[in-house]
Amino acid sequence: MTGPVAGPVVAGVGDEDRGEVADLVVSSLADVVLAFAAQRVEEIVDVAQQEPVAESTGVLDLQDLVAPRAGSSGALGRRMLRVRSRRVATHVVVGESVSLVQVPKGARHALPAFLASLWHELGVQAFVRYGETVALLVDVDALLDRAEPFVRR
Amino acid sequence: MGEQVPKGDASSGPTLPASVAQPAEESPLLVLRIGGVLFGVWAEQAEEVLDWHKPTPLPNMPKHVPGVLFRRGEAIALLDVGAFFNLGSGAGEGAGFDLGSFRRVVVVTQAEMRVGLVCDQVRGVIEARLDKLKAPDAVGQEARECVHAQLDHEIGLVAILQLTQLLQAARPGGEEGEVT
Repeated sequence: MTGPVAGPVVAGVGDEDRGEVADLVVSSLADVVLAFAAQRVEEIVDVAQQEPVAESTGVLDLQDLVAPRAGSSGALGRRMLRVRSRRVATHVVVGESVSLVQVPKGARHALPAFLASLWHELGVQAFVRYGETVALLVDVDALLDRAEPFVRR
Repeated sequence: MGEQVPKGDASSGPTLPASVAQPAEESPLLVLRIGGVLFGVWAEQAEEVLDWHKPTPLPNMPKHVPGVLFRRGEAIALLDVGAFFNLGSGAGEGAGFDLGSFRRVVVVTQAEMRVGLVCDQVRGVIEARLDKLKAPDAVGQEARECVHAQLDHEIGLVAILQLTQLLQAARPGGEEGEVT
């Protein structure tokens, strides 16, 4: 992962492959905390930086998925994650701040089937609980597959 | 953790009599009180009864889904049946008062979904005579589609839940389970 990370690094840098902890890139958006596996995030940039967008194959504003009824409040001041799925790289617009957190693997819980429909378009199949925070864990492959209609190219 | 309930094969409950069939046949029915109404769940559909603990809320939940409980490392979504049927009570009221001390969570599995039903009180298990089951004409309109029979028992009128229908209807993101 390259590029600046805004916000505190809650714990030390770890390697998810160690099997005990997971590094997550988290951001709040419309009262929802979203988490991405850090190894799937190639870069974190400001929306105002145009160059990475030009290199990207598309931009996906997660607010269109998280709070579509609220309407777009604009992306200015928010951050983008350059994430890569199996097929493509895409810039995903998240909230105004981004943090790197390290959580135990035991903090990850599969999303109950009863709730699976709620965040289907976000590719959420699990959530992570650490401290008082509950973050929805976004599966990048599922997100970019399901949210394809929302990607602006 | 609370009392264990006999675990069944996750079927949809006993086969109801078409008209007159096996009049003496009985099946254990777990009776719950929710908002002043007695509801029944076939005991074979219930896995476990848990004590009430404040659930962990998840974002964007409808009001009838107060959050999740963690049971042996598994997150179990809670369904506040009283809130879903607009009966009052349930997880949203009485917490911290005497009412809350009777509150329980009945874990059921149906249609590949494991859900905790929040109830004000577990009344216990009764033996329900299948030939005494009737169409649920005394049940309120909100609940009728999710009730498949009623039983006039000495403890009162028990509305027997059709769990598959209930879970599908109350599922967030579904037609009835829209986020509020």
